[in-house]
Amino acid sequence: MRNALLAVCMLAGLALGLCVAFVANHNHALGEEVLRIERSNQDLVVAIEELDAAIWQRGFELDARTSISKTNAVPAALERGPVQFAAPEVVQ
Amino acid sequence: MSPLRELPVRSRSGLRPGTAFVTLGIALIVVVARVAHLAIPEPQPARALRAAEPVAKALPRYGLSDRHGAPLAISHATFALEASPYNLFLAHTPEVLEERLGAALDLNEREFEALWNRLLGLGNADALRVSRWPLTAEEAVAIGDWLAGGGPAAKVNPDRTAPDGAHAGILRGLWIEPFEPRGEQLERVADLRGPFFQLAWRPDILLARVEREAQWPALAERRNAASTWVRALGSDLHRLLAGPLEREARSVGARAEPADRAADRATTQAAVHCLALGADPARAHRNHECVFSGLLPKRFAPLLDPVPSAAVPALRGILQEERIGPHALWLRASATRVYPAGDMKAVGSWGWSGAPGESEPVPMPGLERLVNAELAELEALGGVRLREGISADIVRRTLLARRPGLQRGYYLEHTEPSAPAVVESTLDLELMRFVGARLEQTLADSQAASAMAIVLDLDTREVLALDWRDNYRTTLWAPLQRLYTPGSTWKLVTMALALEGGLIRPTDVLDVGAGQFRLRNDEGRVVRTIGEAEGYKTGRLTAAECVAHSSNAGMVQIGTRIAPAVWKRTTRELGYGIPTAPELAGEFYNPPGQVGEAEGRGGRAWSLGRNLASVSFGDSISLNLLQHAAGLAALVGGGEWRPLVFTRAVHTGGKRFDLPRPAGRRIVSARTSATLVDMCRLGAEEGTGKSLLRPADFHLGTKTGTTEKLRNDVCSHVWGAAYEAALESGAPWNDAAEYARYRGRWGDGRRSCYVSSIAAFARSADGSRRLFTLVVVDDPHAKGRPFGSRHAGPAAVDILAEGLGYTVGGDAPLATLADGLWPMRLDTLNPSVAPWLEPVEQSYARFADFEGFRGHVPAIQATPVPSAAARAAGPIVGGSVRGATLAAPVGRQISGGVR
Repeated sequence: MRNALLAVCMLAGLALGLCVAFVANHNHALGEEVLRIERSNQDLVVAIEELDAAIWQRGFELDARTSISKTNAVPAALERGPVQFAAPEVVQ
Repeated sequence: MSPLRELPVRSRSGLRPGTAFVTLGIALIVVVARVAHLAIPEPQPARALRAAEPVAKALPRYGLSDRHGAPLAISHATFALEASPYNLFLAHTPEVLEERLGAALDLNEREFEALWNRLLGLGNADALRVSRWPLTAEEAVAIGDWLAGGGPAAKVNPDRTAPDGAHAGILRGLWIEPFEPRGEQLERVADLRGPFFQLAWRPDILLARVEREAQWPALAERRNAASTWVRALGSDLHRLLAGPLEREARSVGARAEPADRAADRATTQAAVHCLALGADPARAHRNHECVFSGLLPKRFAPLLDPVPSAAVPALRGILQEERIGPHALWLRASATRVYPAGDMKAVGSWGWSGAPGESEPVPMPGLERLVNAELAELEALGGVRLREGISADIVRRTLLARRPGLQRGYYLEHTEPSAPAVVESTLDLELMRFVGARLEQTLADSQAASAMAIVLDLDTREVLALDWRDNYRTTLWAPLQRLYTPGSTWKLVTMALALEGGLIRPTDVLDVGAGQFRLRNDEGRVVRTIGEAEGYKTGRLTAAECVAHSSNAGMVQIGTRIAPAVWKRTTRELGYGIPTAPELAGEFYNPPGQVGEAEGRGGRAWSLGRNLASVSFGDSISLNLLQHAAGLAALVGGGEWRPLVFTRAVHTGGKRFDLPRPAGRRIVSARTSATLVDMCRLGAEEGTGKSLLRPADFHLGTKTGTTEKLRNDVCSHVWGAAYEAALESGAPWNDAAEYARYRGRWGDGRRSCYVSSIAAFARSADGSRRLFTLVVVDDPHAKGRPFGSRHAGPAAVDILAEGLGYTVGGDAPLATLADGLWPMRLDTLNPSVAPWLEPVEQSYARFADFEGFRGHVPAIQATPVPSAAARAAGPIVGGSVRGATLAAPVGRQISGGVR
């Protein structure tokens, strides 16, 4: 009886140990995978951010060249058309 | 007796219980060992040494945007390529790395050579010299013999045959040089006789494949040939260097705290490393580490920052294929700061301080410095991280490296990615650009030495634009550091103090004489004669007209009624005479200026003729642009002084957090402020600003300033030209001495030099916005009078018209047809640069039913705008109907030249 109990305990211990080893191995594999994904993510983030900055840069250059006006003009000025600049006496 | 006891216990497998116990026990031990093997990292001296090396700090990750969200500064994630030459060359062949890195990195020859020299640790030298181990003549001879015998190959290749059958010859890449020990080295060899020698070597020759295989042909077959060669070299040299190593051990051991000696940190670390290895006989197989820590003490070499993202996969491939450990060559997450809208002086930039590898990013004066300080304060208050977002470091993990080339990743924890914060500034990018371009035009038109401008929202004191242009090279951060005498723009301060003190009413009449006003004291004696400047009036003027026409005589009569104590107290409350905006730029960039000469002379009482009169019309005062803008904006913007605001909000985690606004202090009543506004409106209509061209319904107020420089001042043209000449010739330059030399010298037979300026404000047609601008033009040399209305005025009005939407980019505004669609000038529409844009009529064909278009688009005529030359020839009426103006002829541009 005592030996049977001992054998059962040892088998349970072995099973537990195998579980721990399995989890550790799995965790290790997971770590490798996470590392790989992280690297790949990191590379992507760098490439995307580099591209984003370049797009902004190029966009501003084009904006300056093509005069696309995001106007905040007053409606009255829009209705009237081109603004005529003059000194007060001319205005009067 | 129980029947169970009598039953024999038999195992089905035939194993006895004891044997089963042992078997299971062994299995259990194996499992535990495996778990422990995975979990416990082995200590690694090489990595520990690297960890002690300085690591370059990265730029902040937060961004800056303008008030509409357009990015002014972006920090984008990059990689930096860094190496530990010591760790790298212990196990890798130089020319393999050279070839593979050269192929992976798209660098020109010169750039790659510089990178390679950094990795070798050569810098500009032709070889690495090991001065820490002075050799006696005997030791040098022993090493010489060893070199002649082929070094470590003598044992394995005794007949000295190279692969091609020839004699292998002397070991190349390591040699002995005469050496004169100094300082600490001299102490070490004090009891020995000279002459002394030192080792010199080149890693790329000694460790080269061609050299090791010439000496030791069998190595060509080995996988780990590089590390075997290094071990063999190091092991032999360790024996040959026994003398110097022992002397060093004595010397380092004698020091109380060797680690504190920052100057030779690498050497000390290496010596400690050698001591540790030497003390442990079990580590004798690692003696080569000690030798190479002396031959190649460098454990950190920044190679390339930023690495172009296109090169990263290739570099990762090299690291993996060559089995290079993360302690030898690595890609570090870094950041690069770019200014997509172009470099703007007001925004500033980031610089670096300190030695390479130890340098720290430092914000330069401007918005960058201010924002960094503000965010640091918020971080301290809220315990949050705003300046560094986690985007390149998406997942955090603990990496356990056991030996080079083998990486163990453990998924232990990770941090949620977060985008870096974006700080929304008050600047308006479009207006900034316009102001910059307009100042360039002003600089050219006026032939000035410099021009600077600031635009404020009068109600919020938000700075919408700040820029400056210099005709000469200068290091000044002009809005704070270029002190100038305000002249007549100061008269608003004088009038404000007098009105507030009940000393004058706008309708009070004053006799201003006929251009020469004699100021008399209480006894009737003339203490000073005051001249006039810009378009002066004579006879009797109301107080309001004195401001509008900028009468010196009138303002002196008003200003001398104000007590000196009131002058001093109120001007300080208005921010004059004290440093401005300390967070925007450090103290060096922030000189305090002065109000009244006596302030600089030990607080002596002001005299009527000299101080009080001068201060009344803006003389005897030095101030900077930001100071004066804040002061005048307080006076014409409601009477309350508030610090200028450069930042509005912080966007982080998808939320917007408005930044707190500093409290203001009331200087004058709202009524006094309204009176000053009326006076400036009068100035713009009838006074010194009346000649300025403006849109028809423009509620413009102006106060011009024309300051003649005095004999103690310098002409900026003369100063700038002399400074540039000194830079060219390399002559020493001392500001104080040069100032004394050039003061009062106007150049080109001129009688004086001037600062022309204008403070102007206007409101939008519906009254919802009020903008204020201060434009300062230093030393205009163009022909004609140097008046502020002439040199600074046109730019000020143009800037206000642009800021209030009367013009867009200096042209007539174009109607927004619908979100995301704007009419544009056809002459600039170029499908090759903007293929996603198309002429409006084409869009209309596709979107004709879109509600927002009805009533607008049919009116648009696709009239090409005449060329710039044609526009310059005279006014042209363009095809413009109902506000959607495709052609943009602007009358004011044509008449601009005669203002």
